[in-house]
Amino acid sequence: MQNTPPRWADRLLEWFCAPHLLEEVQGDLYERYVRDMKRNGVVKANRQYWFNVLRFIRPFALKRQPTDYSSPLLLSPAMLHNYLKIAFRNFWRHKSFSAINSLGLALGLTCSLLIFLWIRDELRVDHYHANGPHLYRIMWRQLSDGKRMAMPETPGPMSQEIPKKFPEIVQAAGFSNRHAHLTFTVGDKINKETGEWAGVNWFNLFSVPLLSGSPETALKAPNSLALSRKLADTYFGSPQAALGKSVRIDNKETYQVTAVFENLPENTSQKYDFLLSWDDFLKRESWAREWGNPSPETFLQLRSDTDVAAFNAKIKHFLRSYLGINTKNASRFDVELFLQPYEDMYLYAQTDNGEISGGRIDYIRLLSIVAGFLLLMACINFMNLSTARSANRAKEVGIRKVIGAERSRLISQFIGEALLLTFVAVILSLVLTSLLLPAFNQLSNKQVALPITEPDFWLALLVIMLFTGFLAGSYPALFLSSLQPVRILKGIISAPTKRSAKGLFRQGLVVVQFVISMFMIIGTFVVYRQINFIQNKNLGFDRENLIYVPLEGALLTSYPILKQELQRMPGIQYIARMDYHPSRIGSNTTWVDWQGKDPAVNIGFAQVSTGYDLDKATRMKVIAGRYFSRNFPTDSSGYVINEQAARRIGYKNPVGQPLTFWGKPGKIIGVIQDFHFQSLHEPLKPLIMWFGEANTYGNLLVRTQPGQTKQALASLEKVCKTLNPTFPFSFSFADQEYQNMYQSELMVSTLVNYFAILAIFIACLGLFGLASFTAEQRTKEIGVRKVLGASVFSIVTLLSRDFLIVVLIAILIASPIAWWFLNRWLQSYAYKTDLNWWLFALAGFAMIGIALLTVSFQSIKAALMNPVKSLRSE
Amino acid sequence: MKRTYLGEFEEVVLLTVAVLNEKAYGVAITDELDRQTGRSVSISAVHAALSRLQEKGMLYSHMGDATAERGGRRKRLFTVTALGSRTLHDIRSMRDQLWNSIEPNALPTIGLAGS
Repeated sequence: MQNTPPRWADRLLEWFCAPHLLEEVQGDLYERYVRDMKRNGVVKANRQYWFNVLRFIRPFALKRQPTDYSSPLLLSPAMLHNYLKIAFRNFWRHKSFSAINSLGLALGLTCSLLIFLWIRDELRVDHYHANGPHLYRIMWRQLSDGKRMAMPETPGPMSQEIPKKFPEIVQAAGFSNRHAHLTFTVGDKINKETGEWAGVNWFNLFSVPLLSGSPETALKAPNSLALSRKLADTYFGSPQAALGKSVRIDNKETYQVTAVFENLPENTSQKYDFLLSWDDFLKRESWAREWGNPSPETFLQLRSDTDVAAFNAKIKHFLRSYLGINTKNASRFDVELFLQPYEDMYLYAQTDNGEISGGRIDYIRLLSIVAGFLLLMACINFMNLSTARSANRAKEVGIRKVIGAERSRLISQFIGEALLLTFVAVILSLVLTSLLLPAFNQLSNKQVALPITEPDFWLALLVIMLFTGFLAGSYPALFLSSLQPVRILKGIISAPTKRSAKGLFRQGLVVVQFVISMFMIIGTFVVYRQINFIQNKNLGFDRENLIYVPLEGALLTSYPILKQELQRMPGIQYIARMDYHPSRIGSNTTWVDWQGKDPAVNIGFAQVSTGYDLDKATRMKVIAGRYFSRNFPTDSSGYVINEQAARRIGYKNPVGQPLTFWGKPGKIIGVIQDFHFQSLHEPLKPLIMWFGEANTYGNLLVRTQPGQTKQALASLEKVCKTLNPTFPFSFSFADQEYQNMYQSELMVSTLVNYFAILAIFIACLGLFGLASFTAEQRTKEIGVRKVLGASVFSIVTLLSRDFLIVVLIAILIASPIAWWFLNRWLQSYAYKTDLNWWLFALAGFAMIGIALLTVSFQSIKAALMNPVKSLRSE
Repeated sequence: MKRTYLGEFEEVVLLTVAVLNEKAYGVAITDELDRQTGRSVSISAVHAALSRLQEKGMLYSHMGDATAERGGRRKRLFTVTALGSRTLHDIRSMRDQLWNSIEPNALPTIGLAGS
């Protein structure tokens, strides 16, 4: 017969159809095929044949006929019983192997589980709003000075203006985003509270449920105040009682409680305990009414049918008309607007060169890779140890095969054993995770719990378990089931040696493990060094023994008295004022003019107002001219600039040269050494300091006598309390403030530290297992060698050498990869440590040391064994 | 009288087996069904019905001879058992009884009375 039905259809049929039906069914289908071919030709007949075969996939054809002799593998209680018994006997007989296997897996799983919980929590931040998918934040992209820079700050009037111009916008609201600490006074209760100012639509835009009051009126009146349930409870007892009551804020103005909202959930990135109205914001911050002063954020909701890309293009040049930018001068200074989805805001907070570049999402990626690696390492352990042990199981496989076990049954037996062990590991890791969670939460500053009530979690766990079980069990299962019974039972197959393909495969797996460990060791070193570098970096000012006190209430106006009083108190060296913290000067301006300024360039200057003695309080170095001095009354109209600014302005001798800042002409009186007034991710920028001794806002900077912090704090509190009795005393240490800027780096570095230790531990577990296995296998060889006169040292060398080679290969592979990745990471810092070759060497030596230590325990034990014992046992 | 329930399709298949008398097997039944009733059914449906009928004890089967066009595979030939036969008769007599109890003119006449 020249034409036969499609082969694959036939195979499919043969596979699924019950054997007792196959002959007649296939015969009928062939008969039909021949008829179809005569009638309709080959193509149609083939198609029809497929169709007919597929139609047989129904219960009656699938169901196997029960017989007395063969029984399906998994349904037979006797076989199942036997498999379980053998599995347990094996676990029991090789206790250390089983322990290493399940412990390694459990540790790997615990890490992945913790990381999984962390990532789950991160991904859920800000994802609870009903309007979520249609919410956006407007971003401001500035093109000036040949640079592109993006930020979430927008002009204050934006949120009210932009919805009028674009019908796509359902509603919009501004948000101050300044974590304002204001003092609440209700009766005799005085406390500092943290809150924000927000637009009228806030409670319509976002799903923050109101316990009292209505979303429409909550923030409408200029003096309205929305409180969280927490504050309402603290001040008034209940959300209902709070409504309509008045609160005095900063002892200046009185606000009416118009709404009480539910406490914000943990997974929210915008945290506030109270909200004030947008009118109030614009009243307080009159400069924010200007279109050229971007400060608050603007959120909006788009209609669900809006094409976001097209809308982005529409709003791109929206601000040009407000900022006086036209096509001619746009090349000098231009501002573009674009949208960022609200739900991306938390994970993609960083911008680079005017584009959104990443943020916490990088940590998520990093940690998922770490989790994957740890799990992979644990699986490799499992595969390695099981294959290494295969010699012990080979006889069992041989007997089973002789008795009639098919390969598929053997495979499922071994995979089943792997699954069993994985199951034990999963249980163990659940226990471990729940024990570790409190510590983990503290470390990562989160409040995650095992979501044991959610079916998704169990499903994920099941998937992980099956995946791990199959991955870990696949190689041993395939390898063991492929053994030929005749050879096994004749004893021809021995344990795979290091030169055989199997041995190479195992060693390859060990190499992978050590590449990962090596990578993590180097990574930990470099991250640690960079963090250390940040911590010890000379910022250009001395952050030890420096205390910040916010100026507020009566202190704002009584600064001269305050200063006078404080300077007489014990423990205090110098007092100065400044409107920001010296490590957080963010305000930017381009409104600076000087003689010979090139009109084509537009340089952004950071600016800060400072009072007398700041140089002494912060120990900054004046390198030319002088700092603001009481001896020169004209200094109040002068400017102090940093080296960067001097370079950008370009005067040869800057001191005494004219400079116009914010339209106010003055002279440069001094140049101060560059200091880091922003995070070390940022390069140094030009800075202008203008005189603000009489300003009515800002911070107090207090330099204390070394070792007398306590007295200094006591003095500060006493003076502040007397001058400003209605405000609670608050302060912060400069070095702690500085640390807080690198919180996420610190957190991730600690996490990675722990995970690196774990990775090494898991890798060593595997190495330990392999080493003990090798030692066991070579007991006789060692005995013979000893009898012939080998020294203990030579035997230890013999046993350790193979492992050393493996580790060396791993080091060679890991180093360039690690170098590449870490170099990329360091690029995100403007100021960084260098990647030295000795770091790699150190990590390599550490790795070798750890590996040797692990292996030597077993090899020394084997080498010290009495040869009589090992040789007698034949 | 209580009897084993037969579906309509099962009944037709059972009758077709009787029609084909000793030569009833999957493809033949399918073709015969097509010819007699104009129903085009899939082979798998016929096989399913046959296996159900056999489980109910209405059919008896044995393997027949192989042909070349079947790739050398044997046919399974079906014959109606005594139980099958009785069930068919029961169904028929029940139908007849029902027909006989219909009053003349009780059914609306349809077109040509003779068909």
